[in-house]
Amino acid sequence: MTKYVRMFKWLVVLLAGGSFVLSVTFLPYFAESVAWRFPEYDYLLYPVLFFLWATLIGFYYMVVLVINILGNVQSGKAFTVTTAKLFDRIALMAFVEIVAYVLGFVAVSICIMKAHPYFIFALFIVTFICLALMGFCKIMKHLLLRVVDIKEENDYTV
Amino acid sequence: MAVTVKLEELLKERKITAGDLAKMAEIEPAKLSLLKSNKAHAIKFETLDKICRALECQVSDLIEYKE
Repeated sequence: MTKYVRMFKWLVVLLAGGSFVLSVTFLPYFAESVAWRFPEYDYLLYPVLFFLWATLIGFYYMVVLVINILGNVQSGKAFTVTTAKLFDRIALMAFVEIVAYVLGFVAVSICIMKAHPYFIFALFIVTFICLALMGFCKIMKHLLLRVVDIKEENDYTV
Repeated sequence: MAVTVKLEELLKERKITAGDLAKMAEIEPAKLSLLKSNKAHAIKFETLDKICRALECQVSDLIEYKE
């Protein structure tokens, strides 16, 4: 079990590292190509790019929280209030990301005076993923707290 | 809680240590300690059976209800 948890931890680190490299190398290139295709919006290139980088901080914080949870699982502290709190924090961060993207979408829509389908699609994807993550983490927190209660009852049953 | 376990008194009466009872009744000393200090939330019938058998007593000798 510990072996699989360690493997999963490395997978998370690898994915986070990979996405970081992509965000530093591919994202500016992609943003520039979009700006080149839509020259009327090229003034939005750097604001949108910096906004995306800023929202990545939230995602990387979530990755750190996931690594903490996996660390708790490794050290046999999976069914604790601390782990439940970590899940709650991930749900909160997912909510913050949704709010950030909705505000970003509204700001961009006001700037270009229309709701661009590309931005609607990006907003839909991010909101859907974050909502799913938020729901999952809230359920996990609720279940973990129930398990902690049951475990405590079991520990105090002679 | 109004329900208390009189294990400490019972052990004093019988002049037996908690460690001895743990061995006689085949109960973990840590669990017995919980029972002795009245910190336990629940007792299994199995545990009651083991303690009563080891101490040759009734359940009423072990558990008391005080208002």
